[in-house]
Amino acid sequence: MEPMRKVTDRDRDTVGRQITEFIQTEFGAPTTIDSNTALIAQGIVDSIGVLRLVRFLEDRFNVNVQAQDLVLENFRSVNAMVDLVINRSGA
Amino acid sequence: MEKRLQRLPDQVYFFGLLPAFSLLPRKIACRLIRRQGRQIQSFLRDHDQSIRSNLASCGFQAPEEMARAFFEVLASEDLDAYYFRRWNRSNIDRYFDFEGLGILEETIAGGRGAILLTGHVGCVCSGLVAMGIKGFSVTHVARGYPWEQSLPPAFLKYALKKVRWMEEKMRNRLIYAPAGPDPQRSASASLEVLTSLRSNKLVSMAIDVVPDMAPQRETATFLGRSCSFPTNFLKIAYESGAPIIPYYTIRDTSNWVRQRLTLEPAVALTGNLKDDLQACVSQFEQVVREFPEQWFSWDSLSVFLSGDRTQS
Repeated sequence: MEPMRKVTDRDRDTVGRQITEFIQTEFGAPTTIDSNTALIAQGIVDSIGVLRLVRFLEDRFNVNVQAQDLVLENFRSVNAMVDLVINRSGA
Repeated sequence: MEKRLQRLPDQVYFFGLLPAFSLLPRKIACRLIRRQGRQIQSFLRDHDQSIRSNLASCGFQAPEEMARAFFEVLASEDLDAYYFRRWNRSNIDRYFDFEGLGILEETIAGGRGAILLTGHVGCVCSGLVAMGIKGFSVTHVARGYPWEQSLPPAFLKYALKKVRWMEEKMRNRLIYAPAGPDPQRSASASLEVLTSLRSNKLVSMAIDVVPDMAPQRETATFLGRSCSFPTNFLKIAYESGAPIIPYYTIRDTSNWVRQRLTLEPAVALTGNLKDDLQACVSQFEQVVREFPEQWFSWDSLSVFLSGDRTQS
């Protein structure tokens, strides 16, 4: 899949859907997860999974996740990651 | 193996004997601390017995002598902590031989940081301090907070001081990656490791972490047995692109004053987890075979075993 060009708030649904699909495919997450599901706290994404998510976001959405972004808060849920992608897109 | 003395409280050992020894001329201090090591050996009989038995079962000759040296090395490492604050750029070469520092320089030029892979062999803490003094930005991943490990009070107080003195010289904080019921703590530690690597830092990790502290594991042949080892360091390398550089800090038991920090070329990773783990474990095994008296996990060898012997 080609990396997305600049992501804006209008792409929120598309970005969220792609992140959710990745989590379901790669981590075997249940189809019931929603954009606010606590992915790490519920054990859906583990300590290595969170690193895979970083790489996925960078590759898929063409964003540069910076050192200050590498905190748990930005990966807690699909919504948090969507915010991160939008904030970092084109930055 | 936190208890050190039989008749006197450990407080006397950690905060009386060790600092007093550290003020003596180094050779005298080494002699005294080795004697102290032998006293610890006579007190920790169960540990001594399991060390001898495991050494013998792995085919090492003279396990009694090795077990004695094991406890001498153990006590010597206790003493090292009191030298950390006195080591500096102008005197560190009096106490350390360095092999392969050029590998670190080349790695740093690559800009992806590096995972420095070691084991609980020799003097890990001293090696980290020495690298920091040599100007390398290094940190270490500790599996578990000292204050959560139900350590005896004197040992805990000593451990916390030691960590503080290490961090002063390393100019970095340790990264705590505790395994346990809260997955957020280990995920947070992973992100901290990635942050360090992306900042081109050197992140030291141990390969011989026990299952309780590193539950994600894979089997590899070690000392002729099928053993389980953690795989996190490899997965982090795969995800970050950071190279894995094995390193070891070995005490020179011919004079006991000097230590040797050896860095090996980066492990050629294939991307196959099992193969790559075996390559790292085999390299670690070479060090354990060469310096069996300096591997601190002999008494817990059984916790690494994952099955029957695979080789005779």
